[in-house]
Amino acid sequence: MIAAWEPRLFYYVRRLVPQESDAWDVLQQTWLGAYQNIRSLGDTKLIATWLYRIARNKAISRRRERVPEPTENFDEQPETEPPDALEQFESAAAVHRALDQLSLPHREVLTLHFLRDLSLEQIADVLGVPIGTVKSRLHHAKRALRNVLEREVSP
Amino acid sequence: MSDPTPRNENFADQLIAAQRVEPTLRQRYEQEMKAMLEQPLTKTRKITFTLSAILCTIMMVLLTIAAVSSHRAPIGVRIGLGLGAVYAAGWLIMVVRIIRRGALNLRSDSQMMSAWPWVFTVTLVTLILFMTGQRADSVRSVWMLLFGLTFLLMASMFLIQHWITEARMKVEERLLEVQLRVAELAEQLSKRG
Repeated sequence: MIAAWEPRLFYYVRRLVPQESDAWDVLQQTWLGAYQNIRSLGDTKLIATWLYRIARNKAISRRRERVPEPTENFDEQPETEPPDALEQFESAAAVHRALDQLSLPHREVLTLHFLRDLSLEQIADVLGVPIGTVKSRLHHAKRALRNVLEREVSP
Repeated sequence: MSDPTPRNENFADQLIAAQRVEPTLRQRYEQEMKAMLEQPLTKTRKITFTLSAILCTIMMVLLTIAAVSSHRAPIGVRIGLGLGAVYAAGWLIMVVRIIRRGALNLRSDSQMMSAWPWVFTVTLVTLILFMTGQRADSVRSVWMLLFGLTFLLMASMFLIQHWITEARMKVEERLLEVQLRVAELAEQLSKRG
């Protein structure tokens, strides 16, 4: 399980905490939490949601410990049209660089979306928000990402 | 709803590959992961495991000899003796690996220690019940049942021990969480003050 999920969880966690050393610590705590609560995982099909949720909680705790900041709230944004399905981001390396320039909620939702382990419903479950908020947030996040990518192409 | 944004199927892998990691930090993480799940053997534990290894070797040899040489015994008895030899061999391998490693892996060893007696017990008790049903001698049948129940009791002890280890780890994590929270609150208070 660790071998299969470690790279994806590390990538996700790394987007949430400011320092790499924190990401490794959070990942370690995630495995400890997962190992100790494995019995609480009723359905093995839900393992992705379950692991991402544990990782998120640990990362949030670490982030609070490191950077005491007000939580950015995007839930109040109006639910506009759903994310455009045909929109594409071809270069993973460029997206990776651009992700770090986005706000935390945008970065987080896009990372979960790009890692392709979770459906939108599952992302909503991990983030603890309604699915409409995920759709809306994803839409805004993609727009923000596109802006960053365009800025990088034409300085 | 699903909107697989990047058309490339390997986009997630490429994204993960783009993440550079500091080798020293990764190494430290791997060491800590290993340490987290491994308890170094204390002197008492080392002695216990060594004695177990000796006992397992004796049991394995004796039971193998008994299974092979007892031509007149019923086939069920010979299978039972053979099972005992396999069980002892399994324990021996596990114990030798722990002694050589010098540490007890809380994940794999603990699971193995609770699972192995159960596998053996269930197999043996099934065999005993099968043989009991075939025997007309009720006194011997009762003895056989008692023998089976003794194994069941021993296996239960290992299972309970496994649960205790798990519970202890859970408590340790809760304590760490409380410590973290206290540190967080102390930091907030010092900022206000």
